Amino acid sequence: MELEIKLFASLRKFNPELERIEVDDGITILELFDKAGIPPSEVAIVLVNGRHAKLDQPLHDGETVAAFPPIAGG
Amino acid sequence: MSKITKNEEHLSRILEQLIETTGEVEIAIETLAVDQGIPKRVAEALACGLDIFPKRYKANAGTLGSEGQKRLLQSKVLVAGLGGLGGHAVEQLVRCGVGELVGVDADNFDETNLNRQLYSDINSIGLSKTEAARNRVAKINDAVEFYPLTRKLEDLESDAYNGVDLIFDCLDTITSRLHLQDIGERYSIPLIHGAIGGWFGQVAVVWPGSKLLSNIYGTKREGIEKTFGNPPFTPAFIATLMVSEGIKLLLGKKKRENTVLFADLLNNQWQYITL
Repeated sequence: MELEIKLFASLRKFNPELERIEVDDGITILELFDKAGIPPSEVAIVLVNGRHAKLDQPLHDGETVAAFPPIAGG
Repeated sequence: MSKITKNEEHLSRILEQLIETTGEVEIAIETLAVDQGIPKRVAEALACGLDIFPKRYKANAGTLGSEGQKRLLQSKVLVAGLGGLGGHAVEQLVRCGVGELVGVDADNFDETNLNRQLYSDINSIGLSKTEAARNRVAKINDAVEFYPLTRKLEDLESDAYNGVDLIFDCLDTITSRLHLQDIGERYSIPLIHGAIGGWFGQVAVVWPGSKLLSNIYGTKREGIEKTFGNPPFTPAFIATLMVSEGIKLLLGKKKRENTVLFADLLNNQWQYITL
């Protein structure tokens, strides 16, 4: 199946060209990050089709995964 | 009719007469404040109630309206953290004419603040951030009352939040931000949250009970600023967004939603997400 990926801010550096990725059916978000080279420790928020998601959530064909890092400076 | 309203009407009539006799709004406001023993911000709010703008707010008029300006003068905002975000936030809030500001920060300025913290300069190294902010506010607008609290947020007494309409989260750790979220919840005060790191930043309104910051940070306790640091333009930009959100909220123009704006100044990308 194919997924769309949107990496935000500092996360882009881990895979700058990544926009779409071909993966096995039923892959979880955590497995997707592993395959795409994105350290889960750097990710604060994950959205699947715009909805807040947990790392063990399985993904489906055509879904869009967006990831954001933690930002906390003042 | 309440006592306050009666008194307000009475004071407004006196102010009208003073404007008529002096021909100068500023003198009339000053005279009313001194003669009646009321804070200048209250006298300015009365002028706005008569649809008369003190000169220093004239350029706000088309955007805020006299009712809006009056409301800001009657508002009290607590700014938690007077560093990169907090300095710019105070600067804009005082120029907007928010009547009372509480500034909270336990730190003094040092050389590493000079690249981005508005109230740091060569002469203010070693000075407390609250003192520097108080000096600056007094120079800009003598009607705004600034209450410095040179303490850690965690050490504030509950009376620090008396009458506070809105809190600006300009803090720099996730732990203290989550503490502030609890405070907002306890006292039913919304937060304007802002955070920065490198080219990136985020802004959100945290409504009491929404747990939005818990949803943003999850189990994370350290942000990307530890790697990227904080350049000068990101805090100025994010603080500006925070103030415009805060002003809208004070004016009753924000609807309750749990949205975060992410700003990527490197790629000029802006992303709204709902959590």
